[in-house]
Parts: sequence; structure tokens; C-alpha cells
Amino acid sequence: MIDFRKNADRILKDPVVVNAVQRATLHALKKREETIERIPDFEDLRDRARLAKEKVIGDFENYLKLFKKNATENGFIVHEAGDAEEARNLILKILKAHGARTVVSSKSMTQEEIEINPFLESHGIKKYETDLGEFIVQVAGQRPSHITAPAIHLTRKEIARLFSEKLGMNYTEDPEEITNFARNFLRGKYFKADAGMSGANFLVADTGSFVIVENEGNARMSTTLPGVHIVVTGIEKLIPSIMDLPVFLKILAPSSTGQRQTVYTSIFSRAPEGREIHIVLIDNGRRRMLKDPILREALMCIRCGGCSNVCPIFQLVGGHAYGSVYSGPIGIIWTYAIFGHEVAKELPFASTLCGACREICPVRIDIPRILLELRRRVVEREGGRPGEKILINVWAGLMTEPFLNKIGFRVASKVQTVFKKGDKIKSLPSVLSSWTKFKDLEPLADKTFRELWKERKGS
Amino acid sequence: MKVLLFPTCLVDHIKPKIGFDTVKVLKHYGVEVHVPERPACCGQIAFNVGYWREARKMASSWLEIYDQPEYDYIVAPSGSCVHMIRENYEILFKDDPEKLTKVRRIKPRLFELVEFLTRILKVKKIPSKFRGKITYHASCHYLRGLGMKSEPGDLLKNIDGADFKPMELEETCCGFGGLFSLKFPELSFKMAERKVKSMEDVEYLTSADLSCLLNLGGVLSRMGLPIRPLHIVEILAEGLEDD
Amino acid sequence: MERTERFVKELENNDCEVHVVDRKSLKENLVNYIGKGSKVFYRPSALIKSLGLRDIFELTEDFHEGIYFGLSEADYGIVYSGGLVELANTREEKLPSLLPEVHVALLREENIVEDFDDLFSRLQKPLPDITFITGPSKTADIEKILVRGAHGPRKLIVFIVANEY
Repeated sequence: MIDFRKNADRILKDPVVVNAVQRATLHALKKREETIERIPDFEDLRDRARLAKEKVIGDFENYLKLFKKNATENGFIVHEAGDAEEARNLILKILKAHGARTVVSSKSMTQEEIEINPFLESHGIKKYETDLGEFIVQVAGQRPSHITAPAIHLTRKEIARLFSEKLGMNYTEDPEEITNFARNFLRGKYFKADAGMSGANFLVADTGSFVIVENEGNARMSTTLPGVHIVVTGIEKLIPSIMDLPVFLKILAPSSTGQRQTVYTSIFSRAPEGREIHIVLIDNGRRRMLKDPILREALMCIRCGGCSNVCPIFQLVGGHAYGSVYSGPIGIIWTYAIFGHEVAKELPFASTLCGACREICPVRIDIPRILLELRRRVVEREGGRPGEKILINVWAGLMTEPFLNKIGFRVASKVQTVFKKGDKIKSLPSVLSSWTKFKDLEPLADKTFRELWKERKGS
Repeated sequence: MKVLLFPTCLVDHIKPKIGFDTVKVLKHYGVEVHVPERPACCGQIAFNVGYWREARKMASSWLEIYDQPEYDYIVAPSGSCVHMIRENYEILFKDDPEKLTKVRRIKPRLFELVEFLTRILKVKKIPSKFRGKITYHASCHYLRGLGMKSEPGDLLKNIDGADFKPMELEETCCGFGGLFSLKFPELSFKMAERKVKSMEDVEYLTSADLSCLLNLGGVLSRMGLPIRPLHIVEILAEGLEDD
Repeated sequence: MERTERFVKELENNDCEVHVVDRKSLKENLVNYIGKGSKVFYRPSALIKSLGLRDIFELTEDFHEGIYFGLSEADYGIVYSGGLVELANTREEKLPSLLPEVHVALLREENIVEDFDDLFSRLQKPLPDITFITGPSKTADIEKILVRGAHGPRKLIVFIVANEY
């Protein structure tokens, strides 16, 4: 089980990470604001994007069928994998057929989801992550901490030390020189790699195209230079038509990094002669989401990371607290949906339901609503935590039975004098102690408002 | 105009003064106020952590008390309670047509206090005698749920003796989140602390939700900072003629 | 042309160096910029061929390390994004805009379109591969500090070839 509280508390003790995450997320939000100011029809674009995604979800199998047909006609080799294991074996089979020993790959959350790297490694295939952030995280043996800025939790000092120790870089803390080192290191790999891998941001049903957006050029390299290219993508990336693509391109980058447009957008619609392009379509729980009346909305996510940037919890603890490839508010939902109840049952509670995520989501996913539903399911399955269950039941009794309320209030306002210091309560026992650990508590009044009101009316 | 007051459980049991100040402000505008005798909680504390059965119990009781057609409006000094009833009761009772009818009957007449003042009574300026430097915390459900963005600040700005100083993180969550603050105490504290640190050169912190104020106030008190939390109605009612 | 002006502005916002030149002075501009005798990794187009660059640069369609300049003609420019559009299917066609340190792109003014929709409605199915290029390669993965030339070109120079009236 992912223990969010433990993870978060550990991260909170590291001011470097907390500051870095905060700086990065606030920076992206500020850029988003500035960019959106120059897109007067942004709200309309959001509606249109949502509508396009609703169309896909409403008639999913047909859109998928259409995509597969068109993609095949384009010369792509289309595969489908029901779960992660099937996907891993499929990918391995393709790589083996090409005798691949080294692979270069651009960023793909779906690849992380199916944990392809350790699997390939165990079969003697070395896969290099080529997105700079992902590359850093890979060398560090860690997980990405942010969907669009995977290495925000690391400082330049840490990266400098890492690269000089593990890759033999001449020690420098200059980001430009470090980047240059990685550029040269990976240049060598692109040209020698036997295969390239990537994810996809969009699958276009009516043209059978797949679309990749990026800033660095590593995806263009990974998809162009090696002899075979494998696209690993979730089936939810479908959009109905190429004419819908502009709408998505116009909302994705602003919501994500705050750019108006990413540097590169590659739309692939043709397999060049003599070169294989495989598309591995992954279900791994997505059809289950599709059948779920509440969870299906989460399939609209375009992975911009906006909800992470704006989340007051994410801003403090970053992606690692979520213990999953999918982090932040929407990541909670995805983690629960893909990896299941047992793994993720604590995560839905890691939100104050403040609604900032819903407000920023470019496709208007009602994230708090889904979190509420997941909480209901967790309580239903687990029967609630003992202390918490008692607390809530006592509360419900006190708030619905006038007699209990009267007695309970009397007793509690007497008892509280034991804990009172001046006009505040500084420490409480048992389940309530976690409140007074960091905060003073306002005591109960001597008489309730209703009692006082009645007295005044009477006088 | 007859209004039924929902004081909210927190105001009722912890800060009765806020209830009286709410009455004071409403009476100032000629509104007749009634207060039910029975205790009530909207149930969001249970609903928000997944205990929908218990939430339903509280919500049913609330509906029973407040579904009284002879009152023109129901007003509460809390954005999040109003949001709970307005947005979540229909989810809670989606399989209970009788309750659903009640919810739909009540919804259009239910308002948070400042919302009621500005949207129904069209109040632009309140003759409050409040003096001091105030900053404002936009509680989440109030801001994003009810869409109350500029109204509270506008009322505060228009108080002659008050010096309204918006804080940088006005719209950022205070970290309360109901039982969230008990489940993740350290994180909840850090969220509140960040917020508190962004308040500069003010004497009072105000908001339209007592829950947030108890949370932020608890941190202010523990940190020994001389900023006093006050519910927005305590500021608006200051110096108004009592009946 | 008003549209061109807006396009230039957007390109500059995207960190591109832009020159609007007329057809007659294009060659001279390229020579001045790239330098006589330089090795240039290029993607042929009718416009580029018509310039007679062979006698000035060492033009090649095969990339090898050490080639500093890439030269290609963009098929379209999009005002909305302030970017270039490359319709290219083969590796050879795609790489001049990607591998060298500096990418010099030519664009005929008449090929500037307003928005993505204008582009897609002009293209026939089956679609070619399409690459949108809006600026030099970039990263901010280390402490959010912007670095140009993450993997691709560190600089993008656009020569807009003005319409002749």
C-alpha cells in the first residue's frame, strides 16, 4: 500500500525539495496565466476539447476500431495489450525480432506504468531515457517527481555530483554545461541504438496518426534515427479527428508548462519504406474505467500536469509523495483505477478537495467529485478506520439528536477545561491529538448559539 | 422578508457571537430572522471522508429542520456548508426522490450571508465601524464552489475605517479540509503555515468560513503571531445598531 | 503585409531570429550568415536548388558530426503558434532541421497561414508526416533554468522570402 502520509512527512523534512517543487509549480502557473491572457477563446477551446473527448468516450470501441484501421493503412503495425505483462512481452518480442540490444526512448508515462525498463534490463536490453529530466532521474535510479518536469526535486549540485560520479562528467554546476554533457552523451546513443521508443500524446482516429509533443528534440531523434520505432500508448489518447487536433494543441502546452506551444510537435501518419513503426495500444485497466460511470471521466486527461501545479499539496511535497508514476490530483484517480484498491486506498484522502484542480483542468475533469466517490468506495470496502468511524458516528448522533446534543455539549464543555490553557486548548488525547500537535484549538463556547438565542428571546 | 438562519454546527457550538452578528447584519437590512431550536450539521465532515451513510443521517435531519416553505430564504454564515447542501445533497440523495424534491425546493432559497447581502439585498457598502488592517482568506468552497470572488473584498474595502490588504496566497487552500487535518496533520500544518507566512502587516485575518479561521487561527496562536482571526460577519456587524 | 508582421513577432517570441528578405537578396543573406565554404546539411527544395548554392557551400544530404548548419525550406508558417511546418516523411528530409547546431529555415511569405485549421484544410489525405517547429530546442529540466540546444539546434534562423508584387 502506498503510504502517502509517511511519504509526505519525509519529503516535508527536506526543505530543498519543498522549495524546488514550489518554485517549479508556481513558475508554470505564472507562465500559464501570461500565455492564456493572449488566448481570448481559451474557455471555448476547453469546451471543445472536452466535447471531443466525450465523443470518444461515448463511442469508444468504434473510434478505436477506426484508428486501428487507418493506422494499419498508414503502414503502422498495430498491437493491443490487455495488461502490463502482455505489453512488456509484446515489446520484447518486437525488439528481439530486430536483435535490439540498446534502445533510446522519449518520455512516456505509459512506459513507466508498465515498468518496461527493469523488464528489458532483465532481458539484456539497455534502454536510455533521452528527455533530460527523465535521463537524470534514470541515472539517479529514481522516479520522476513531476509529469512535465521529472527532475524538479533535484538541485544542480546533486545532478552535477550524480553525472560526474556515474557518467564521468567533468564536475560542473552550470546547467548549460550539464545539459551539453547529456546532449553529447545521448547523441552517441541515438546513432547506435537498435530501436527507438516513445509514447504518444494523441491518437487521431480519422487519419490513423499519432502525435508527440516535446521541447527538447529528443523525441524527434528517438523516433527518427533508429531502424525501428515502437510507440507505447494508452488507448485513452484517442481523439476523433485531425481537425480536433488544433484545439488540443492550443490547450495542452499552456496548461502544462505555460508555453503557447511546445517547440516540436510531430504528427506521424506514414511508415517510411523499409522502416517498421509499431504501435502498442495498452488497456491495462482503461476499459474498466470506461465502464465505471464515475471513473470514466478521468480518461479524458491529456496529462498536462496542470492539476499538479495548482494543487496546494503537490506544491509542497511534489510527485514522489504519491508513490506512483501518476502523481498529483488526477494521478490519485489513475493510480487507484490502474493499480487497484489495495495499493491506492490511502491516496484518495490526500486532498483537501479545494477544487483548484477542477478549475484549472483544460478538459474540465471534476477531480474532487471523483475523489469523493473513491473515498466512499474505500470506506465501504474497508468499513472505515475505527477511531474515525467512532468520531463520525458520535458527531452524527450529537448533530441529529437534540437531547444527546444538549448532554454531549454540557459534558464536553466541562471536560475541556482540563485541556484548556488560557483561552485555547493546547493538547488533546487520542484521535484528536494530531490536531493539537501543530495548532491551538478554540474551545467550545459556554453555551450554544441556540441556547443564548432562546435566552435573549425570552428576556 | 423572513429568513431562517442556519448558524452551522461550528458557529453554534464554538463561536455563538458569529450567529448574533449574522442576525445583527440581517436585521440592519430589515430582515426578520428565525433560528430553529434543533441542532444541525450539514454533514460535510462525514461526506467528505467517505462516510455517506452518516452524512445522509445528518443531511436528512437538516432537511427536516430547514425545509420550511414559509421562509423566503435560508441564510448561513459559511460558504462550505452552503456549498455542501447546494452541490452534494443531490449526490447523497440521488436514489431518494422524496428527499431530492426537498433539496431542489430549498436550493434556490439557500444563501451564504455575504452572497445573500450582495446578490439578493444588493448591498454595496455596509456602515460598519470596524477599524484596523484586515486581510482576507478566500475559503475554497466559497470561492470555487459558490463563485464568490470579488464580493467579500469589495464589502471590506468599502468599510470606511478598515484598511483592506489582500494577501498573496488569498486563493490557496489553508490546509484544513475537514478530517484531512487529522489524517495528515504535518502537511495540513505546513499548508497553513505557508499561508500565514504570506500575511504581512495586518492585524486581522478574515474569511467567510469559521472552519478555515479555526485552522489558520490555531496556527497563528501556536506561532504566537499577533494576527486575530475574525469571521467576516464580525467585521461587517461592528458598530451596527443592535435591536 | 500585416500577417507577416504578426508572424515575425510570434516567431521572435519563440526565440527565433527572423529576417524578411526579397528573393534577389536571399542568396547574399545566406552567404553572409553561413559563411562561404561552410559545410551545410540540407534538405533540397525547388527554392533552395534555384539559388545555386553548390558553388558557395559544401552542401550535403548526409549528416556527420561536426556539421554546424542545417538548411531547409519550411512548407508553411503558422501565425498562431509562431512556428514553421515541415512536411517530411523520410529520415533524410527530417534531419536537417534537427541535428545541426544551427537550423537555417527558409519560408516563402505566401506560405504563411493564420492557424492550424488553415493548414489541415489544405492538406490531402493520406497525410504526410508533419512537424511543427516553434523555436530552437529547449529544456528547463535543471532547476527550471532555460537552456537552448537540449538535443536539437541551439538556434533557429528564419529567412522569410517576401512575396514579389
